Formats: sequence, C-alpha cells, structure tokens
Amino acid sequence: MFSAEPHRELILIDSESNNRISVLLLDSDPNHAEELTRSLQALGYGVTTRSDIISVLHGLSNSDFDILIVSSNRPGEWKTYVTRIHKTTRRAKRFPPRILCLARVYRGPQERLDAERLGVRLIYER
Amino acid sequence: MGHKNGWMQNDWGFDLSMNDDRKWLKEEIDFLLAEQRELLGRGPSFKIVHRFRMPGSDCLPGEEIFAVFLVHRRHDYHLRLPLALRILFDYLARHPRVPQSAGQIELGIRAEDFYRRHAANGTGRRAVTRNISRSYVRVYAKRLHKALELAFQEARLQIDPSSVLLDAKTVGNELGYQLKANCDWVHIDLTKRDSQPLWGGNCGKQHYRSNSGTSRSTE
Repeated sequence: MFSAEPHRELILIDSESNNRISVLLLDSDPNHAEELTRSLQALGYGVTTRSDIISVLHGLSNSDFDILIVSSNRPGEWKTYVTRIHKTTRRAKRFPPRILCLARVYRGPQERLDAERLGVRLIYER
Repeated sequence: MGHKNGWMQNDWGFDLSMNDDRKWLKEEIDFLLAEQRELLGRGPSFKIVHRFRMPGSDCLPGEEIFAVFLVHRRHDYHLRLPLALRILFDYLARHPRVPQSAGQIELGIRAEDFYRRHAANGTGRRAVTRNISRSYVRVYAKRLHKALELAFQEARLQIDPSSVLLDAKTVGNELGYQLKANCDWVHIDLTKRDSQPLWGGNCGKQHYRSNSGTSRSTE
C-alpha cells in the first residue's frame, strides 16, 4: 500500500522492497509526475516524488536513493537544480544517487554537453 | 484497483509493465546503476603514464613516472602530483592486494630498482627520485587525498577520496594504506637515436670510423 501526502509524496511501503531500486523524482508538473511515477513503479522501482527542489534536498539529507530523476520543462532549470543537489550531496559522506535529467524539448547539443560536464545524464522523453 | 504485495495495481498497471513505452528510461537507469556498481566495486579508473621506456621492453627500471590521470567517461583528468606522490601512487597501484604500513611502504620503495633508478633513462645515467620516509607517509597520504578530491571534483564524480586511498587500522596501532582503484599503465618510448635497436642502438657507446672505413666502438 502507499500513502499520498499533501506535497505529492508517494511512498511505496512494501515489505518485499528491501532490495528494490529507490528513485527520487523531482517534477513540478503534477500530471506528468503522476504518469511518470506510475511508469516507474510498473518497471519495478520504488518511487518518491517531490515537486520542488527544497523538499528534494531535504529528502536527500534524510534518506538514501539510488537514482534521482530531475524532470524539467524550462530551459536551464535542471542545471540550477543539479548544481544545488551536488552542493548538498558533496557534504554528505554517503555515496550520492546517480542523477538523470529528463527533458521534453530538444534544445541542441550544448545542453547534453553541459550535462556531461556536470556528471549527469540528460535524455529526452519519447 | 487492487492491492497485491503492497503495490497499487489496476488493470492497465499490468499492461504498463509489458509496454515498451518507458523501456528507454529503464535502460538509462540500468546504465547509471551499472556505472555506480562498477565504481563501488572496483573503484575509479586511473592511467599511469611512464615515459623513457627502452624500445622493445615492457616496463623496466630507468623509466619515469610521468603523470597520473583519473579516467572517467573517455576523459582524462590529471592528478596534480609532485614526484614523491607519483612514486607513492605507482607503488600502491602495483601492490593493491594487501594494505601496507608506512614502514613497509618505505622499505618496498627503497628495495625496488624501478624507484631507485627512476628516470635514469632520460638523464642517461643519474636517477631522479625521492626517498619516501615512513614518518612522511601519513602526510603524503593526506596530500594524495587532496589531489584525488580535486580530480574527482573536476570529473564531477562524487567519490570520497578516503574510499579510494584506504587507511585501515591493524589490530595494533599501525595504519595500513591500500589503493582501491583500477589502474592501467601506458608507456612512451625513448626516441633517442642511441636507444633505437634498428639504428644500431647500443645504449650510448660511441662509434668512430677509422681512415680505412671500418668502424670500431669505444665505451
């Protein structure tokens, strides 16, 4: 079973999920977030969804996640988020989650180059 | 909607799992997780460059430890190491299985011809090397951590340097140092004329031609 809280947190509570890959999803678009969460859960991942960067940073400080997905529709927004996330996770001693940025609009190769330089993967939704 | 084993599922929830719609997303996540497992399991990858290798040889005393690079996603990131730290890094990379105390490291480096004759092929005779004193190993280890931290930052790799250069306590009070990394060596050959076997390379012997046209060598 899962519980939905006011800030759109969907936490999978499953006694068999100890080995399941945990995903933290940052997506400010509620409809898109819900659809993506359902897809990820169907793929077998445990998903925690947040709609703003502050609660993501708070979540990273308190829990361990394997993957962090940043879904952003505005140009350059993901870069700001990733920079802040790196600053937070650098201070922590745990191994930080791998970051995957999802973009819906192709804005040229420079964006992917910027992602490589930041050490994250940028992919476009199909 | 029904509940099964803690999952929320509806009729088309099963369809989603069979659907290729987000298969590309799963592939990307799998790639990131595989990369993470590799980094956690084997440690990061480094390339150690030796130069002044005698052509035709493998890796012999007389070569210089020219540089050390962190290798990540096809890019090389230079570790800013002075000579003493390059020697220490090379030594630890050659002996990765067992943690060694400062005393063992000092002894090991002194005993190995490679470090005693470091860069001698480049100068022709004189070795350019450093003694690694055991009282300095702890200081060198801290500096190595710093160099690793800088390289990891440049590569945007969030790895704790102390998980790469490990210092583990023994049951006594000794600290054992160990490098947990994947290291490869790359060599640059000497190009001096007298080191080339095809050109009659003879490691520095001089040839004189007599008036009769025959040659003889002197040492």
